[in-house]
Amino acid sequence: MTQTITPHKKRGRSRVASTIFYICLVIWPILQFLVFYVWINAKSIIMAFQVYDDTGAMHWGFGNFALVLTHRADNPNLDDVIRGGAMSLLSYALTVVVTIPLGLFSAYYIGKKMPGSGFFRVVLFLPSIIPEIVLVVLYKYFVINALPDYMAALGWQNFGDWLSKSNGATWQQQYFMVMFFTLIITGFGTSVLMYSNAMSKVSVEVLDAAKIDGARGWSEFWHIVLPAVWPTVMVFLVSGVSSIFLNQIHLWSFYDYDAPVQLQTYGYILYHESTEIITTSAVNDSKANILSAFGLLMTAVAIPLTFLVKWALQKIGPKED
Amino acid sequence: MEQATTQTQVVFHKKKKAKHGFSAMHVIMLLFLIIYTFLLFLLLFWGLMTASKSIHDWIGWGEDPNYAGFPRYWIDDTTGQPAFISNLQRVLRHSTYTKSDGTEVGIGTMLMNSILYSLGCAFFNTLVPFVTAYACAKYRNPVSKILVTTAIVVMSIPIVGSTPAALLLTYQLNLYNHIWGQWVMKANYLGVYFLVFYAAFLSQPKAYHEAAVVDGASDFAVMTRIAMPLCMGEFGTVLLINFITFWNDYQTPFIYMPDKPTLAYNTWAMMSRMSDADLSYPPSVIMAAVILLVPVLVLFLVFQKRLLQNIDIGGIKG
Repeated sequence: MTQTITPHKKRGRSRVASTIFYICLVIWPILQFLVFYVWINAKSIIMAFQVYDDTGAMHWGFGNFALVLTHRADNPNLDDVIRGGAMSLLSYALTVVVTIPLGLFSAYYIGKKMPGSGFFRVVLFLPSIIPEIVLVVLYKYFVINALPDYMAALGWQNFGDWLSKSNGATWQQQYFMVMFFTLIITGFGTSVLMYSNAMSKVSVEVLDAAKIDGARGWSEFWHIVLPAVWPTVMVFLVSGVSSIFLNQIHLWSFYDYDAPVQLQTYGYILYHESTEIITTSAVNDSKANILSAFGLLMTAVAIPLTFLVKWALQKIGPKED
Repeated sequence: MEQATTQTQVVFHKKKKAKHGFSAMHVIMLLFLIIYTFLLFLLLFWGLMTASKSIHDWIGWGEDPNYAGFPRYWIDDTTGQPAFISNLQRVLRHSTYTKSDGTEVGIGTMLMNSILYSLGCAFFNTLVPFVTAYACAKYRNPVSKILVTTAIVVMSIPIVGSTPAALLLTYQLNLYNHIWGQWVMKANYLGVYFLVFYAAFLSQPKAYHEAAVVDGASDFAVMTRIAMPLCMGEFGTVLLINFITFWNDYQTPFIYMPDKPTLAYNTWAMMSRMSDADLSYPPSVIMAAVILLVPVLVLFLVFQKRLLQNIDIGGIKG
């Protein structure tokens, strides 16, 4: 007996097939998200409130938070926590004051197709693909060994001495700050490409109108280009805030376990301590829980701060007239 | 979408190309860019020069140390070979790592680990957002909406310090110390590339899909023969960016798979093992850095146009 398939049945089968196909597509990302995002973060919050005493017994409470605020795991006092925050903020401030303006001006030059702009576009992007550890290795030995010779050739004979002892800072800090500053100014390549792409969307009519009104150079940049790329700048500023507490400012690459306490950021402290909870067989529960509390405290600051900065930038940022 | 946005771009650039109105600001920027370029190339050139210096040349031994200049001796008098080759051999010889079970691995294994880690993580970290973005763009239902909203919300909420919990989970799921464990962890759809793919799929004309369905194409055929091939440019660019990111990453393998050292880890370890007599000279460590850098530089030179043209906010143009 032949079975007749009506169009209605056909549509029904096709809908079932589509639904099954859709489920196959989204089942993995949903499961992965539930396990590796929801579970991990929920577990992290729970761990922050699990306190282990000397006998290894677990209690619930705020003991880990108290330990973080008073001892920061194994360092002696609250000063270190404050200092860590200061260095983290300094790295963000340098991004705002140095990296973003340099990126914007470079993008403006490239976006205007000024001489050599194609070449500079490639050069500015180059440091973004070079491994961080390679840049650190090169800068470290270059600054320590070769730079004093080059500076001497340029007439600054005492550069090596200045680098190794001055201003009450240790030679390690002094070297680091020179290298860190160099890394900061070489680290804006990707942002240049993004800014220049955003700038390219400025309509030619607006530019012509501005030109007729006498806007050139700085005036054109400030009144026309900057408002147009402001949403892109905001992305960098806001994402910078959210990564204040994760930024290691290359300390791990420079110093591994031994970064001077005065230079440590929260990002470095978290990574450093995380490497120490690894043992060959298991995670050391007590330290893991203290770190979870540390992370939760940082998150509690980072979330409102991120939204506050986003709100403020929307309010005070330049607007296209 | 890309074509639409580039139209104004071309007009803008053409207009400006005709006449370079140099202002004071442009002159300052040009000077800055020239100095920047000079310093960057000086650094890379100095690195290559240093990797070609023998220890004798570097220290001086009776002469001034040669930290800044060109190599004085191209032959390493301790080995009788070109200094570049000697340094390379020294790095290869000392690129060893003792695993937790006491066995030792060499640079060949590290290279293999680097390739497996970078390729696998890059592939899954690109494929999952690609497929999920297609599902969300093609099938507009509440689940898709939740997935898109979740991706946006997660991007704007900074979460700090979940590494201990993640480590604990990798132990429990037996993902710890396995490269495939990292593939699983990286196979998530979250991140800016999901939104980029989503925008790309949304911009595809529906008529293509509908015509294929009328011709009897299944859902799978529409996805693999119509929709995905149209977005292969974006897929390739993200894959490339991800590959470079994972190739350069040594901190994640260090925490999650300490017995699978990569080349990036090896460079870091060599720098921190400067106390070893044979590695206590920068030319050796810089040679290790050169070994790590070469594959990335080659990739950049080959795919430079694709990387630079497609980059926009958060990574690539949508």
